[in-house]
Amino acid sequence: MLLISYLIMDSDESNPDNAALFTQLYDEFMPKVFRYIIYWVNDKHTTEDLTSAVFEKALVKFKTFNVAKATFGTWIIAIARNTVIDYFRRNKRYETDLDQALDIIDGDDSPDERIIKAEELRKLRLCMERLSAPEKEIISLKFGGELTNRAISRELRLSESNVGVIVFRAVRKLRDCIGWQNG
Amino acid sequence: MGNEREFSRGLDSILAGKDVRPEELADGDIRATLGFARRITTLRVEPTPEFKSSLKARLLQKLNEQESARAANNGWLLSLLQRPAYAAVAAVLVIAVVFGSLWASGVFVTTPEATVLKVEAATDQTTYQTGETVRIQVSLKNVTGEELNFNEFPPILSLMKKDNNQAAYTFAAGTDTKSLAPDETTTFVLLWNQRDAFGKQAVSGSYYIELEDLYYQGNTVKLTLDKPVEFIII
Repeated sequence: MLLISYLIMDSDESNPDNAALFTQLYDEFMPKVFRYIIYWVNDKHTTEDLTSAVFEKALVKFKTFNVAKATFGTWIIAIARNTVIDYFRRNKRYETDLDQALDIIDGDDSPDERIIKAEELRKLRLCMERLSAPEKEIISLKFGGELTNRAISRELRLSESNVGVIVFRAVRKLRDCIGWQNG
Repeated sequence: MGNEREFSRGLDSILAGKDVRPEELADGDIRATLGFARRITTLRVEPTPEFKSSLKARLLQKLNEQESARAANNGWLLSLLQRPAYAAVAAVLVIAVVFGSLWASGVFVTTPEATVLKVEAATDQTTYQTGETVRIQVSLKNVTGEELNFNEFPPILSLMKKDNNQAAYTFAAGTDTKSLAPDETTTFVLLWNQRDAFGKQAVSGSYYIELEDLYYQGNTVKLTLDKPVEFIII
């Protein structure tokens, strides 16, 4: 279905379905890209900038998307991953501002709920920083990008079972870390 | 291993928004970890509606501009092809060209299952001090009787840590198109500064080189090294 949609978008420049297809893909995948990026940069405005950059690249590179090689979700998250790597290379830094947790929580929660959630998020981010780079990468691909273990294994060139083991152990580490902090 | 599988299934269900009840699981460790995973999902940060809509509007406008530019470039051809007689002629020509190309490429005769490329690689040293640049030279020789054309050249190359088979660093695929005549060899060199994608120094230990497949005529060409290449960082 996606292949058919892609061919329509690629071949018929005047097709009004292009905007509909794009909107459909955007609505489904933009939050995943955003969540993946914010796991790394912890800053709402930078995340918005990088998310915009990812979709602008995707718009330009859409012709190179090959459905035989990857799903759209895997493809767009791969662009997001490279964008984040480029960002850290350019900025030559790898630290995150953990005090921004409250700032990045929006939504319908009450002020009290927001404070509790912000504190939990702050702890989670502290614990995330203690994970190894591959563990953090896999957690952000899993919880942010919502990729399957198989898709992550292809992206990171690990076996699928290895990814499953790393996800399980990393979540357990986070659980223990937060439990220890609470205790 | 069974624990991780059960956990993965539960986590995928949680991420898909399905109703999962970790408290009903028998294994206490999985129950607690899955319960915690569900808690992580409630802490995920969502983009604001304002950002969602403004970015969407901006991208749709860009899409529009791209399409207008392309339509302007192709307008005369499209208008010609919209006439039934020209469209029919064009369709016959396209079929003839595609069929002819496939015939000429030999796709109806053989499939390139056999060895297509002889792949050799070497590092300039077998042992490196921490921080020392690792020079990797890879050569690919066309061992078929026909010219090969590859996109995304050079191929993806990963430096794998031997004890856990995880990539310490991966060189992305190139964007060049490469043609190789029969028996022709091409060589490329990569330099690794021993840092991962995030700039962190790789740990000491044994590493080996792994190459990702290339694509040729819609088939995967396995890039298997003639001899495994290993090196050590001390």
